[in-house]
Amino acid sequence: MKKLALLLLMVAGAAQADCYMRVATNLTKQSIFGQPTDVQRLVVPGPHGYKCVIRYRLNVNLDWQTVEGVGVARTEEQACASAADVKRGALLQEVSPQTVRADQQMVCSDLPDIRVRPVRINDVVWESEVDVHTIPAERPYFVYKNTQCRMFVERNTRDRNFFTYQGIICRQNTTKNSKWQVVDKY
Amino acid sequence: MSTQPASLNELKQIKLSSRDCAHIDYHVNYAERQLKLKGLLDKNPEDLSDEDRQYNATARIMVWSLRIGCANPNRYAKK
Repeated sequence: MKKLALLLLMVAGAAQADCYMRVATNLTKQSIFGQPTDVQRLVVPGPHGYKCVIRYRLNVNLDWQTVEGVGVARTEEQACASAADVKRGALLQEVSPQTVRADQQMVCSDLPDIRVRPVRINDVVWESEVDVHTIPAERPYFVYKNTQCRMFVERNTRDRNFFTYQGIICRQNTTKNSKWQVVDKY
Repeated sequence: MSTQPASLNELKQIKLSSRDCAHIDYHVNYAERQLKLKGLLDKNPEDLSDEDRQYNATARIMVWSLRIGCANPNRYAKK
């Protein structure tokens, strides 16, 4: 009976959290645009020091992917430095029942689920909520009014017509992991 | 100062280059004034008709080409 109650609790927990398959992968520098962004970190003390879980978004072949790195070390700083190493990160892929295999590792989390979505002028967004530009020359970050900004594109449909909008997002402040504001879209 | 907005064709005929960075405020103000006269300032494109969306995009591309290109002169340099 106790086992059943525990199972039900686990199922209830998993139903509220977002669950992913953890897929080990080798990311090549060529396929990555920019740096890890929208970093979220969770540190817990453990028997050998600290365990640091860092989840971030990485643009791989023009698609935003969620990557998770785990580090264990004597100090919090060392654990998180190890977790932040992109070479050791694992892609998190959304779970679909057809693709779940017994030998795969599933992770569930209450951290905010970030994904590309339609945005409007003045929205405050995570950087990876908007796509990078389709034109390579328009992808690099630039400075506008002393703030880091970049262009984005948004693919949208209206009345069965397909539209591609572009726009500008700029960091809200100078902190490394700040959110971004949509300053224009056209 | 005209109270009639420029036509889309007139806007499209304006060719800008790095030489225009010396007069960036003039050009940005001009484009934004046209948007204001058309009632398009700060409008989201999904709320506009096809005609207005095209006009809006043309004027805003002018504005951002100058803002980005003039403040970041190496951005479009051939490598």
